[in-house]
Amino acid sequence: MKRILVVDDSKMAQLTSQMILKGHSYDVFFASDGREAVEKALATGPDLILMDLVMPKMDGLEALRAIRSIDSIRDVPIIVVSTRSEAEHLEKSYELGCNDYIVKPVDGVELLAKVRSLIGE
Amino acid sequence: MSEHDEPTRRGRDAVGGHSEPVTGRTGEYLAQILEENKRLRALIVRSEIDLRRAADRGDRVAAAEYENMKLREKVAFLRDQLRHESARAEAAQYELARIRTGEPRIGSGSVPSPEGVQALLRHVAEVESHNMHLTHLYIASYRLHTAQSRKEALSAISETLVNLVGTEHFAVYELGGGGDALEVASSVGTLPADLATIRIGVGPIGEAVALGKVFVAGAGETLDGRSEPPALKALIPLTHAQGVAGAIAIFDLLPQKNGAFEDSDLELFDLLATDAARALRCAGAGRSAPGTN
Repeated sequence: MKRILVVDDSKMAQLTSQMILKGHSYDVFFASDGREAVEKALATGPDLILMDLVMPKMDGLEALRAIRSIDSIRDVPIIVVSTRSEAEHLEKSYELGCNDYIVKPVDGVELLAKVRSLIGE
Repeated sequence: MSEHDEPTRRGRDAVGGHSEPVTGRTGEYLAQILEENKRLRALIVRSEIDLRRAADRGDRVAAAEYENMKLREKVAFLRDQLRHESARAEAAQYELARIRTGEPRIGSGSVPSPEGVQALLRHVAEVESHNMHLTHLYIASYRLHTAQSRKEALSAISETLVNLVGTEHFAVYELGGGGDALEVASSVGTLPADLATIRIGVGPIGEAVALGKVFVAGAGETLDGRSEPPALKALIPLTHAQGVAGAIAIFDLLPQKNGAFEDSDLELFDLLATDAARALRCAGAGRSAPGTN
């Protein structure tokens, strides 16, 4: 079963991703800030990461930069999931190496399609 | 009818009208389950009546428990609906996959027309969209129901607005000590100075709150007539049996919402109107303005 790390400080956002993905046989686990995301990614080597941008301690962009700089996890696909839809946030996210970008409120069909295109069923 | 016939009949009903009678040990087992189910349902009804009576006597804890029970029922109902919709979506996707691979339906041997495929695609999209909407309702309801404190209840309301509706400019009001005005309990973004407090029944917004109904502005419109932000886009009074306990004011939507609420947002507002009030009340924060509902 493919394992997805959902990084978001909102319990509701975590629950939303979990409900969408678990119904399609993905194993979902969580981190609540960027620092925890880097630690969990290193410890568990997920197949994919869903990353919020605005978070305490370490934000999503910093976490993205950190993950892309660590050899063992630099190739893990990352989808940014954020309320921010402005061009600057998209550009910065892609510049730092995200593979895709989704704006909130999350559309389950869109999320599933993007996850499948990156890691398959 | 003999003594042994009764479990058989009940067993058949329980498995959705199967034509084969359920007999012997299976039938007895089903009968036992149904009896247990009946007993549990009676238990729930009895405790609901007890709680309602206690609440009527002014027992605050019982009143909170009663509200909590209603929330649990709603979560269970939504969960059932969600399960049902998931099964429909799965069936539709299976059917779609079958058509795409050109595999004929068992017993039919025919391949559907392009129009048939299009119709099915629309059906799948419709079911998936409905499924997503139910998921949102369930998540909002679940988060409100599991809030253990005022802070958590307020956080659940804010998270619903940010993650499920799509706004980062709003205020949540609670009834003030005097019982005749709503005061800001939490907010995101800049508030209009004249909306720091809402006096219930006074002025257009206060009157709207007193009515206890949800008001939503159409695309490009505002509720307070302001053309410059922050302008009021939606007003959701939070009500329970005792009256208005608070309100939510939404001033702007995220750009991706294109300035308009969707039907699914309106259903979320209806849910917030009652369940958020209950969650705040159960968390011990809710007071209410008598006679405002």
